[in-house]
Amino acid sequence: MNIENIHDALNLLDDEMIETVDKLRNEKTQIIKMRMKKNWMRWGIIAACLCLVVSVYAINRLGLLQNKEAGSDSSVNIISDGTHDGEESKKFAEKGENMADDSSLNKEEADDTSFVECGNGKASISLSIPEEWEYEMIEPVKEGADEFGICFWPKGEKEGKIKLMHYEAWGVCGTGLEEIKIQLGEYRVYQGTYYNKEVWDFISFIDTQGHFVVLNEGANVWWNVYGEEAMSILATVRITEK
Amino acid sequence: MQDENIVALYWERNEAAIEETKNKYEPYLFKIAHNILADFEDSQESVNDTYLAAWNSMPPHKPSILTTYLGKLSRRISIDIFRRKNRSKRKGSEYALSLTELEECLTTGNNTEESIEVKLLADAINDFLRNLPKDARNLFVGRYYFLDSLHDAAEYCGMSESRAKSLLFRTRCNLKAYLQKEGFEV
Repeated sequence: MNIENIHDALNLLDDEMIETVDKLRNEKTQIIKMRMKKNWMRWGIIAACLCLVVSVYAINRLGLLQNKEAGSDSSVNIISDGTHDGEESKKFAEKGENMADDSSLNKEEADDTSFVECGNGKASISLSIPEEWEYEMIEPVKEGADEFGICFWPKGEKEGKIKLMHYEAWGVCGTGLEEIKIQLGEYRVYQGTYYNKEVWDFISFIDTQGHFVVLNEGANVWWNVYGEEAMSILATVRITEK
Repeated sequence: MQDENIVALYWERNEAAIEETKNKYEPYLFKIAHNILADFEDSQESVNDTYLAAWNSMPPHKPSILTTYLGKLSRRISIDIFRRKNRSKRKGSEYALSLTELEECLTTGNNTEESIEVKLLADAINDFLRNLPKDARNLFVGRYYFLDSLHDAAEYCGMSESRAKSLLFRTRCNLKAYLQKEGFEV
């Protein structure tokens, strides 16, 4: 007897035994097929999500380009809404549209605006501030000091200011804070609001090396009247870093 | 189509029987053939020969389980192809060639005796397997009849690969002892 005889003999196994194992094999094949199907579905969903993300990103980029082409340094567009304030983001989305339209107004009124720049030799910030607004430079206490900025407010308003500042370090408390990511002029920024207030508390710049931040110092009192204009002034911001 | 209907088509000598068999069982037969031959073209050839063998054997055969019947045909044909291919590979060596020639001398005229021996061996293996626990039996059949990989056989028998390996080893030792006890020269 040799090994080949055993294989020949195995060909004469009881059908019942073979059928039992055959069923097990079929079950396994079906399970594998189901797994593969699930895998395909999983990958399909991931691919679809990826397409969606890319599309949304592309649309946003396209929107930004169009705004820039319209000569708008003063465009404010929402990039993405965090988990926070939906109403706030809607407001700014509307403002973004309005400000894109208002860009021509800036050009027309270019003669009535002051170009204000402040820096410490390593970095500088500038704004275009219309005639109807007052401003104050916050110069560094000594050359090379990190704290400097520009402060502005509507003419005639005795309280409430918007401060565009550069600090050596900047941090915020997270309690009660809601942040949304928006586009301010050519910069991506976080707009932070505490305890669902109507007006934001700070705006911090995302892509800059230094700590540039806009602070709302009691501007809530005149925000309903001048808020949109204040945002369009902020959208003219230019940051230079060496 | 139901198996009985396919068998009926064979008995009516209707060529649609082959088409129906192909539609229903080609992947199954191909898997058996490929486990033995590990070659796409050879496996395809084996499957085609299986259809022909089924056509030639029904009638007179009227299998109650068509799957198993076709599987056995495919397995036998694939093993034959495997042996034929291996024989042709050995042609290069004169020593191997002389072995083949002597093997032919030895087997000539003993076909009946050999097939009886195979039948007796098959009966002994069937008896042995019937008395095995279900797990060990399924694993043995999966590994040595269907010639599935150890990994696959262990998976569909619901055990780890290492457990399957040791279980197969014990089963082989027991089979050897059983066959010796039954008077087979092992």
